[in-house]
Amino acid sequence: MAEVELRGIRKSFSGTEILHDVNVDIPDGEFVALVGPSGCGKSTLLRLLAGLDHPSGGKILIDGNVVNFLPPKRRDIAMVFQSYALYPHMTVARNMAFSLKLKGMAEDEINTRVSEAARMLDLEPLLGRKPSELSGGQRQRVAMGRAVVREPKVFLFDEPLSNLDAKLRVQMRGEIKELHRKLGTTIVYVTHDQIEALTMADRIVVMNAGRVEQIGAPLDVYDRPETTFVAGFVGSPAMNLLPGKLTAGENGTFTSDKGLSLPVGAVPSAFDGRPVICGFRPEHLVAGGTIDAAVSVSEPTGSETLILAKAKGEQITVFVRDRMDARHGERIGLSVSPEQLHFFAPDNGRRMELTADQETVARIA
Amino acid sequence: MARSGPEQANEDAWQPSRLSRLIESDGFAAAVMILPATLLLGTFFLWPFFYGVWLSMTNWDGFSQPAFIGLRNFTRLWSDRIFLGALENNVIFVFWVVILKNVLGLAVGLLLQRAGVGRAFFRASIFLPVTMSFVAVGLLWSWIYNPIFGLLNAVLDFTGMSGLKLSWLGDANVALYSVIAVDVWKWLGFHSVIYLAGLQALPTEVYDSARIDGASAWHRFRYITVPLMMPVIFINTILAFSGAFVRNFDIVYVLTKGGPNHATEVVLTDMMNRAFSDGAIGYAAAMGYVLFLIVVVLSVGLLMLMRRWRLEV
Repeated sequence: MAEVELRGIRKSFSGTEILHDVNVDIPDGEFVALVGPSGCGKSTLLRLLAGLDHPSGGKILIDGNVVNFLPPKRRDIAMVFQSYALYPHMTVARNMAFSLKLKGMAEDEINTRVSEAARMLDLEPLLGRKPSELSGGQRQRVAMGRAVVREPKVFLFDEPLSNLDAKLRVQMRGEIKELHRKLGTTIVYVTHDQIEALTMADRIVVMNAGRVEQIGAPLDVYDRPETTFVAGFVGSPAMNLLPGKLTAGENGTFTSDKGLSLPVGAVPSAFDGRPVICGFRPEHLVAGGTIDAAVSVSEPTGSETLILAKAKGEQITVFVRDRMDARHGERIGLSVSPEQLHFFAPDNGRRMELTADQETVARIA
Repeated sequence: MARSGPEQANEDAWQPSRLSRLIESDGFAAAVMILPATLLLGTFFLWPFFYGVWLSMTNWDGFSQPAFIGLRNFTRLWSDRIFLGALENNVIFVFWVVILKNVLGLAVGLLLQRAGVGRAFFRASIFLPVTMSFVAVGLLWSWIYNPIFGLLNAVLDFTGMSGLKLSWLGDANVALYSVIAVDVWKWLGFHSVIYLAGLQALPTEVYDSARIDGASAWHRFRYITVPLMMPVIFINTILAFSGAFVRNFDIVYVLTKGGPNHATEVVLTDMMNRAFSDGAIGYAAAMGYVLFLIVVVLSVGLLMLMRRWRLEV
């Protein structure tokens, strides 16, 4: 187990900056998920941590030691790849034993470790098979077994569940969580699936375009997104984000550019007329309110209903945790509690708090 | 009971004949499409092949009527010193050519894969000899090997290694190896390109995984590259093997014509001499079919061996 620190990490390829000043601290034994859209630099960051590439700037520390130019084999890390990267010509047992054999470990010790890992991951009946004879889920478990036998300080997972079907993904999520619980090893897990990140990690690092948008516990990030990107990326379905203006007062309001008005509660006078982006989650809209909306599309998923509606020309998403029969064109009344509203500055997308302190006023002035 | 109405009408409905069903079938269309190739194959391969078998059992000189002599040509071969020497040279030729073309081909393929600057130039350069005609290659290397004004001996002089100077094509002890070197030089680019294509198709994540597992460059080559490249190694070995046995006439004839004193004689050059210089076409044909049988037996054995190795890796 080990503590991992990424300090001011930069990475460029042919003059194009991919990672910009990334700072992440991962305490010993923590499960951290790097989550973001494709191309945001999370896999690049993982490769730098693995030693498969070198940073253009900054420091990578494992247990307090700078490892920037240390080769992968000396970092005491193990990695599980998206494509599993199993050695196709070796049996499952040989795949798992390969790294130990290279270390010069005794045959008995190798066999013991392989057997233990195989038992933990239910791979014992498969030890004599080659990867081509395994299903996707089995290959993924072999890839995990290959990492487990090394007893590394840090596990790295690079989108390990992306190639699996939905049902198997759910099952493997549980197995990875269980593995973390049993071993307690520091895990850095890269995924583009925010559901995976939210359900598995102790903390998530939301990345976008090579930058860290927000770091925090999954529910903290979900409840209090710091930027419009995080607000729109974390949570499914995505948060409704409407540009508009605030009206100050004891019963202040937000009015969108197209005229949709929402009660906000107390709005300090400093914010009167200020352009903002107002966000609210689809599941926080409740039926029976003053927002008059017309149903565009209704998507029942069985126990829940996703509704796309138009209110004063604004497209809004409603997520009802019930079966609801809503037809196209049907008019429904909606409301959202002011406590469930989030506000962001339109120029930089950063979160705004509607407080009257001078710092906030100065920042938005 | 007599049938009437729709049932009778169904029975009387027109049924396509067997011939029209045959003509409309997919198999017929396919057969028609491959007919031209089949005719060519039959005319220029099958017929000459089987006619040659017949000729090998005659005493035909190319002019008079061939007379059937049974297997006498074949039995004569086993006491023919020149033929046996040529066969031995063929085996030596095959042995070194297969090893050198594969080892050097893989090495050059690995280097080309890593080449950064000038990659296109290096690839074109290594492939250039493959495009050269055998006559041009023979002329070029005859000059390089010339003991008086040749480049090779001049370089040895220049580097202070005059003691290594030889008559590269005139010395019976080294002439065969000089010819082997030229053959390897000419075809190295061909095998390198095949190896390069194979190397570029290998999954890169497997190498990343191996680096993380602690594999050094040598370990990655030994435990990852070579096993995964086995299919390409098989292809190159088969190509080198068959080429070394049955496509070495040009290079030997252009450089040495089988000399000095049969030191570089191979079965194909011996065949040509017997057929067109000695007028023993039937005997030369027998030589050819013995070579054919040897190549078939060795190729099948090689394929079986390689198939077993591929399953084990």
